[in-house]
Amino acid sequence: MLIEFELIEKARSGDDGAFNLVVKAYRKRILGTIARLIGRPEDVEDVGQEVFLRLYYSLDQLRAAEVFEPWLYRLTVNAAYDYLRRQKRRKESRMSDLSEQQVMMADASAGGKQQTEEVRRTKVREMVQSLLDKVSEEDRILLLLKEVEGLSLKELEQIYKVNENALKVRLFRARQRVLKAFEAGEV
Amino acid sequence: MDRMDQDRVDRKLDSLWAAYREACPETEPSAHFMPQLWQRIETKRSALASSWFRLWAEVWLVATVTLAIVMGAILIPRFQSNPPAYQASYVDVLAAADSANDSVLPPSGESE
Repeated sequence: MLIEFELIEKARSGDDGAFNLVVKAYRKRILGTIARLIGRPEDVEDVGQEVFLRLYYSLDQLRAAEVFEPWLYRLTVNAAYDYLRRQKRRKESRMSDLSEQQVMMADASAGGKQQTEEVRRTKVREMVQSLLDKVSEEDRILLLLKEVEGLSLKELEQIYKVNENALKVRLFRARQRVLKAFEAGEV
Repeated sequence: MDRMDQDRVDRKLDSLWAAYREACPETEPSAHFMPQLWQRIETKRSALASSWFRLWAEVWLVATVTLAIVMGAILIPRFQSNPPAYQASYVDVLAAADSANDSVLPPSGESE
């Protein structure tokens, strides 16, 4: 937990100052998660604000301060789903992103060590994002939460509201689908 | 694909996740993040307040119309079942009063 339970309780009882502190503590982490979930940097803040807006108006429904983080992640995942449904991931904008990355890579290849490192990072991001584009939104979000955000099965259980076995099956299948896409890309 | 190949691909995928985690830049919120968030909260708050007001107005309207219908349904049959106080017309009442006066007048011979 990034904050004390007491602060969450205060925010839950309608203290706007406490809510402000909660947002400030979590915004960076949530924005990072959203960036990975939606893959469009220009819309990250908008979705992030939507998450905290939903948090503000649903905080009174939170059962206990202990489950705050899974609750917040649940709101984040739902907001990301809503965004992705709205956008339907326009192909043409992705193509322009890709060409921008290629230009960056070409520029960087002429530069020094720092640029080489940036090229490597860009390449990794591009590779994972194109891999995740080959699976469904559900698989993409589940795998990112597990493998990249590092959420435990217990936390995922609270987010998805399913039991551990069902979650393990879903994770296994999602991983198999990504592995298949990964192998196909490797060949 | 045999088991060894599967494990190799599995390991590669795991290292790719780790590399991705490391390659993702930290997302710094802009200076407008908090002001815009509070603006959205306030906008929604006023929208919620006006929708509550509209809901209350609708509830009161429906309640008033329902009450009027119920009162009408109860009172109209009651008025219809009770006979009105005056069944005769004004002319009939006058005529009746006049004929009553005639009957109490003394005969013309007695008065003189």
